[in-house]
Amino acid sequence: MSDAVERVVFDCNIFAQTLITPSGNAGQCVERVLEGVIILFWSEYVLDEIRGIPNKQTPLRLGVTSDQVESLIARLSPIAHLVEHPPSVYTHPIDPKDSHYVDLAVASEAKLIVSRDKHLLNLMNLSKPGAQQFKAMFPSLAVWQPEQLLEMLRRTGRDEMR
Amino acid sequence: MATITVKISDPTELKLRRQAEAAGKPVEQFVCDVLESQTDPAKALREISGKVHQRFLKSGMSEEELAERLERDDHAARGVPYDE
Repeated sequence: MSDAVERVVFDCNIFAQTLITPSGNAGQCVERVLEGVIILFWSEYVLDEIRGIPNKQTPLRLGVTSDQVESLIARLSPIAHLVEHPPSVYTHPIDPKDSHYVDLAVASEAKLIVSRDKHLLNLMNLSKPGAQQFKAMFPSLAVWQPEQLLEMLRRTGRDEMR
Repeated sequence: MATITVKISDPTELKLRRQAEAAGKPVEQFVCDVLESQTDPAKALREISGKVHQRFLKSGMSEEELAERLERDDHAARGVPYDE
């Protein structure tokens, strides 16, 4: 993919990790959004997923609250771009829930989805089910782990914008 | 120090004055602090996380383990096999 990535979509668990370990790689990706280094696109679907974080097993055990979630959303809202009703253009072969992130990336012309979800990341592995079809449908769209995005920003000097 | 002039609504000014008073600061200093905090996202994210981050550190979990657990929780809750 091009080094000129600016527009990104984050999987819900990137926000969950940010709430739990803000200095980790996922948290640093959110930081880059707040610093204006990359441009985040999200949707009501993603916001609903983020609001559901406190009900998930691990965040619940660590005591993540709805107030914290709302604080994170409030911090990001002025800078993130809300995409209303992205059209459905893709169905993930294993986990249909993941399809929305692809739909959102396509609607927002983002070149990158940042995730740790195995089913999304496997779309980059041409030996995995559906990956070749995905590559043919969306040749310029990539799914990366947070550390890959951070490395690209360092390598291309985009971190110097901070 | 740079100077920027902005126009704000009367209700916002009232809220800022009330919040500044609660913080025990002149409104100019309070507004300056709010703007400074906007330019330090790392600090803001640490403040939002608060004790949750401390609990995470105490748990001994690595960032990779956390990510794996979050993904497994998520898929289990929806009944989608994660290891496929």
